[in-house]
This record gives sequence, C-alpha cells and structure tokens, in this order.
Amino acid sequence: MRSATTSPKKRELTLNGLKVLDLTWVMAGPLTTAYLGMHGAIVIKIESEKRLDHARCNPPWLNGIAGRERASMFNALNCDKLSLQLNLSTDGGKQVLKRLVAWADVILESFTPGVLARLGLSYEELKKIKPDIIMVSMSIQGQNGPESMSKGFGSEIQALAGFTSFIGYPDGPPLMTGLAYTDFIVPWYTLIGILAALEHREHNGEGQYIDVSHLETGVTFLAVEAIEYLAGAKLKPRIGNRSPWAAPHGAYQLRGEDRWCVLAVLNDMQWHSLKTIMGDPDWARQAKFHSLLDRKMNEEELDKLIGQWTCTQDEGVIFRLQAAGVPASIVSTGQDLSACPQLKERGHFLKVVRSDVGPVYCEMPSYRCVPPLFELPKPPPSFGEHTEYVCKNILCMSDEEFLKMYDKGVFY
Amino acid sequence: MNITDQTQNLPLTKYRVLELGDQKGSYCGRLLADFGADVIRIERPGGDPERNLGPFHQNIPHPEKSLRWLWNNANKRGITLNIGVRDGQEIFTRLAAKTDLLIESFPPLYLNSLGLGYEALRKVNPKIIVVSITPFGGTGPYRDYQACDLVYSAMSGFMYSTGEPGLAPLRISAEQAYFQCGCQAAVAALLGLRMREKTGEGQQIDFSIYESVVSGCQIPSFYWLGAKQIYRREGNRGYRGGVIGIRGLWPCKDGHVIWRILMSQLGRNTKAVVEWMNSEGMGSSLTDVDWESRGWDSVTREEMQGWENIFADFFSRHTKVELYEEGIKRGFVLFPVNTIKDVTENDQLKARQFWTRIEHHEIGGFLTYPNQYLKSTAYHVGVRSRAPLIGEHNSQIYQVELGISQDQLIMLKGAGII
Repeated sequence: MRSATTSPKKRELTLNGLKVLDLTWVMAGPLTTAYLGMHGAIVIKIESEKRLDHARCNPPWLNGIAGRERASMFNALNCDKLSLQLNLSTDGGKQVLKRLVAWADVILESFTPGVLARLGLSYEELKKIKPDIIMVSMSIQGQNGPESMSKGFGSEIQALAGFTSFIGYPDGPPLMTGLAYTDFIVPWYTLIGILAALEHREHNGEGQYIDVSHLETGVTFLAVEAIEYLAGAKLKPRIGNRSPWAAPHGAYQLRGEDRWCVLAVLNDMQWHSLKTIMGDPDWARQAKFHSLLDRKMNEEELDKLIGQWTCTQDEGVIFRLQAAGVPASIVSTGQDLSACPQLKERGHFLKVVRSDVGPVYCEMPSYRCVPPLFELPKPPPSFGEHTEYVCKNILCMSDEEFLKMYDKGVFY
Repeated sequence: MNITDQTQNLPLTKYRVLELGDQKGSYCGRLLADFGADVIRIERPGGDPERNLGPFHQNIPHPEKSLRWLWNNANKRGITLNIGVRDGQEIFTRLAAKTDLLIESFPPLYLNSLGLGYEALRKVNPKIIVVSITPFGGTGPYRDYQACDLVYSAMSGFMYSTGEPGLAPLRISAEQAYFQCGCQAAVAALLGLRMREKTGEGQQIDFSIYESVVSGCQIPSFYWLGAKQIYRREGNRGYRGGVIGIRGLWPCKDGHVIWRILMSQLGRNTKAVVEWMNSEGMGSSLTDVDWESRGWDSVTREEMQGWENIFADFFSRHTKVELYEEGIKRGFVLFPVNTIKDVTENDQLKARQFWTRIEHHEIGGFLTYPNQYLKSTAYHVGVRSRAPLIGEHNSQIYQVELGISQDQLIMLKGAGII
C-alpha cells in the first residue's frame, strides 16, 4: 500500500471538481468515469484484492509482460483516477463507503442487480446519507425484469441485442465480432444521463437514480431495423458489406499481406471518377455497369472486377480515390490507427507516462474547442495507490483510525 | 401537440436548439430533445435529403415515410428554410439570436462562407454554442475527405476485427456511425452548456465523426499501443494474441448462440455448462477438466478441438431459448443470436417497457419505437412525439415567434426561401 501526493482537480475545467465515486470495473463503467475525470471530475475508484478488476488481469499486456499495472485495457480506461483499496465485505469497508457517499456527487456502479442492496447500499439507503446523490447503475439487462439477473459481458451481449445477426457474408450465417461492442455504446448514454441529471439537480436540488443497460442502449443502434420489422417488414438475409442503395459498396483486397480497402460509389460522379482512376478499363464501359440500377443488378460481377483491380494496387490508391471525391479508406488495423495522420493531428491518442511501467495510452474525446473543455489526464493509478490519501485528505481520518481499519482488513 | 405538457420535469427544457445540416447531426439533436430540449430541425424547402433514406414504411419511398428520418427526428419541431439566400440568412440569424445551441453538419467552413459561421453568430448571440459535426473534424489532412458508414467502420478498426480470416473484413450491415456520433456529440454539447454556466460565454465545438467511431471501437488500440499486437478477425473466435482464439459462436437447434469457453478466474462459467451437460449424460471427458484452475496456456489445439466438438454436439440439441434460460438459472453467460424479430419479441425489453406506440396520421396508423433506453427516477426519457412533417412548424415559429406575417410567408414560400 503506497501513499501518493495528488493535487485537487483544476476548478477551471467544465465539471468543476465534480465528485465521482466509481464502483465499476472492466470497460464500460471505467470509460464513463474516465471521461468525467478528463472534464474536471475527481474520480475515486474502489478496488479490492477480493475482486480484482478484470481489466487488470487480462492481456494485452504492456510489452507482453503480465502484471496488474501492465494491462492495456486498464491503463487506457482509468487515467487520472484515485485508487482506493476497499474491502466491501467488511463492516469497516461499508462504513468507509458510506462516508464516501456523503462526499460524492455521483456514484456509478456496475454490479449484478441486487448486489449493492444486499450490502445495505441501495439507492434508498444512500439517499439517507446524501439526499441529492445521483446514483447510476449500469448493468447488462437492467435492474428489473425477468432476465435482469443474467450475467454477461460486452463480448456476448452483442448477440442478445441483435448485432450478431447483422454480421455475415451475403446470404451466409451470422458471425460474431470479437469486439465487446456494447461496451462502447452504453458509456455515452450514461454520460448524457449524468449531465442531464446535473442540470436537473441544479434546477431543483434533487438527485436521482439512473438505471442504464447494455441491452437497451445497444438496441437503440438497431432502432431503425426494429421499427421497420415492427411495421410489418420481413426478416432480410445478411448483406455483408453491401448497401441497399449503392454499388459498388464493399471491401476489396489490396496488394500485400491481408490489406484491404473499402470504397463506395454513391452517385454518378463518383462512378465516373472511379472508372478514371481504374484507367478507364473496357469492362467498366459496358452498359451493364452504366447506372446505379444496372450496377446493382450486376453487383457480384462488379465486385469481382473491382477486386481484380484493387489487388494490383497499394494503399496509395485511397488517396487518389479521395482526391477524386470517392469515399474510400484502408481497413485499419490498430497499427494503422496509431499511425493515422488525421488522428495524430487531432491528438486522439494520448501517451501518458507512468512512473512505474512507463508510457501507456488512452483516447481523448472526439472533439476540439477553445477554450478547452477537458484537460490531458494524469496517468492511471497503481492498485490502491491513493488509499491513504483518500482516507486522510478527503475523508479526514486520523492516523489512528486509519491504522485501526487497516489492521481489520478494511483496505484489503 | 403541446410540447410543454409532455416535457414537464425533463431537465433540458430551458434550452433551445437549432439543427442545421443532415443525418450527421440529427441523432445528436434527437437525444437532446429526448431530455426535453426544444430542438428545431431546419430543413431545406421541400424537405431534407435525410427523408430519402430507407427503410420506408411498407417499402413505399416517400419523404414522410422514411423510418430513418422518423427515428432520428422524433421529439423535434421542424421548419423549412433556405439559408443560401439573404432572406433565409436573416431569418436564421434572428433564430440564432435566441438559441442556446446550434448543431450543424455542413462541410467544414460552409457556414462561414454564408456569413453564418461561429464568429458571425456570436456577435449576435455571445452565448451561442455551435457544435460543428464533420466526417473527420474541421482540421487535419483528412478534413475534406469523403466518408460513409462503410468508411467509418473500416477506418475505426471494427472491420479488421470482424469476419473470417482470409475473407473480406466485415461491417455490421446496419448503419452505426451516425448513432455513435450523435451520442458523443450530445455529450460534447452538454459539456459546452455546462462550461457556459461558468464563463457566461458560448464557443464552437469541432466534432469529428471519425474520432467518435474510433472511440466506439478501442480494443484494437489496446492491443497495438499496449502490446504491439494486431487484433484481427478470427471468424467465430476471439483474437488471443496469435494463439488460436477462443470460440464464441455456436449453431444450435434453431439458430445460434454466443458462449465462450472461459477458464481460471472465470472458469466457473464453463463448469456450470458442463454440470448441465452431465445431468443429460453428455458431459463426457469435459467433466475431468478443472476449468477454474487451468489456464489457456496449458491447452493444446487438439484438446481445444476435442472440447469444442463435445460442446457443439450438446448445443445442437437445444434451442436458443433453452440454452439461454438455463444460463440464467445456472449462472453461465450465454446469449442467443437474436434476429431483429427476436429482439422485438424479447421478454426482458417488454417487461422494461422498452417499446412505445406513436400515432402517425399521414401513414394512417401507429409505429412502434424503442423507448426508455435509460430509466431515471426523476423523469421519463423516450419518444414523446413523432418527427415533424415538412415545414410542420413554419407557422408556429415564423408567425407566432418571429412575427412574420401570413403574406410574407406566402411570398417567402413562392421564392423558395421557406
């Protein structure tokens, strides 16, 4: 257990030192609180040996070496938080948590529904401590309902929300994405909910309880398809990278090891540009590729012919296509993202140097403005790094009280 | 419809938002409207091209039947205005003078060229916040590049992570980018409003759709920036840094399910499935595996294949619902691969009152919308009213609010200004 000095959050920032108690783990919750932190919130993250954040326990590891301070996922999503080691299964742990509730403006948790209530920490109980508390519960399927008790991770919930059924080659079976897709949807809705709750509290002094789920926020990204089905449409076969209203529209292989591009022709002008860049081949002048309707009818052949051309091209073709006004890009790997000149110019990825393990990376918000609304965050905390600081400087515990609790295993 | 009644108690009712542009900005405005903001969608006379986007109600392509338009623009008011001409610019400036937030998604600097850029607007309204949403941002070498949902999915890293190795990388065959953009731009807008409370001044926020889709993906960056590994597609397996991935998608009797063979810290998940399999006499050699102690490093390819065959055989004998419900009972993580039909019939969503019916006179019936995607004890967030018809609130805003006379409106209409 280490102590560390840390300065209070700059009050020039947007959220003005908003006090956030973070009981979440893995990806969605931590991303949410990290975003608040970047915009001026003070975030206290609760960690425990009894319940180590999965994000600390899994690869990818920094430089391939395992260790709880070396997990990329943790480091990317927990910048600038105060780590408090707290054992919630002890009475002392619950006491400390209640004192943190009295301190906090916002509490975010992502336990399975009912867990906090069983620990005596339901919204009703916490409201007694801090009547205007804003408490947010983030769960897989919501706090109530017949399936609220299902466990889950973002990697699987994609299937329940319907996304997996929309992934697959034309007329083929469904394919999953390896990505935990909903983990990067629910945080944004949660942030909107929290910011709206702050407006509400400012207006009439009331806090609130917010219940947000991966499933429901995820399904909003398929809302149009759901509305369509409920209005009487039939289920459609999978279309892969094709578009119902454009051709060509897809992924095509380039020269090189597993290098691909995408391109889309959304109007006649772009078709003309593409033909020119392809060197005006005879096949492209055939009547069967002349108009959108023609190209749609002959899409399979069209895709094959374009693919035969792209196979002879390297990534430079994308710049030529873009210069001619054709939507096109590389199919980016993680390496492409880190080298992307646009993301570099925008400062999207931030290198933060930890004193123990060296440089780690996180993502910045997707916008720029002057004056800035966010600041570059400090590095992520080591496990329990701020336990003593939080207890003595924020909760104003005396040395004796702190040591007594420590001996009882409260900070395990 | 009486907006004041329906938005009672919602937290953003004091804010007036103007929305100029196209589908790139419409979901941002929609979310703010859901929380009570008065969002006025400004369309070009005759209707915005977003109304041409399918799918359409009953497959009839018609500007009042675009389901995409209807979803993105629920809860808003709508007016028509041609900002390319002087009268339109003057009217717009009058509206901007009394607005808190402008969401615009024109190409970078387009509004500047009309004399309606941030610098011009703030002279009229120093408190205005302008959220400018563009494909790649207002700065940078890709500023003027073209994009569409396919391009965003490819550039974000999503596609390289999805599909069969050796075959084309895959996107989700449903537009996603503008929803990601809308959510994150709404967050940025609310943060801008928060800052304005402190400083008393507005500002321009330069929002990049590309960055928002990258932030909607993130995992490939964990692998490259942290460990110099390239996260790649492995079909129905999850990438695991170069060793064979863990299988996740399985056919079953009436479709497919997602379930991963998890070990060590999460090994209980697999143990629970094997216990069920044993109760049906199908556990076989899986019973001897200590799922909670073993780590993946000790598993050979042959052993993994053997396990997969046994699990696959078991799953093929059960339906999606059987597998899913047993998972809830026994505490293992398994989800059915739901079609959109399954999603609309999902019991959990129904119990959570996730759907609402809204009347649409012009199509002669009701449409059912997702609703209450976030539950608050303080207010009800969801779809209150349908998206506006073309020019539906012209009279309300131009005559009642701006005092433009009926005769003037007729003149403006005839001249293609509204």
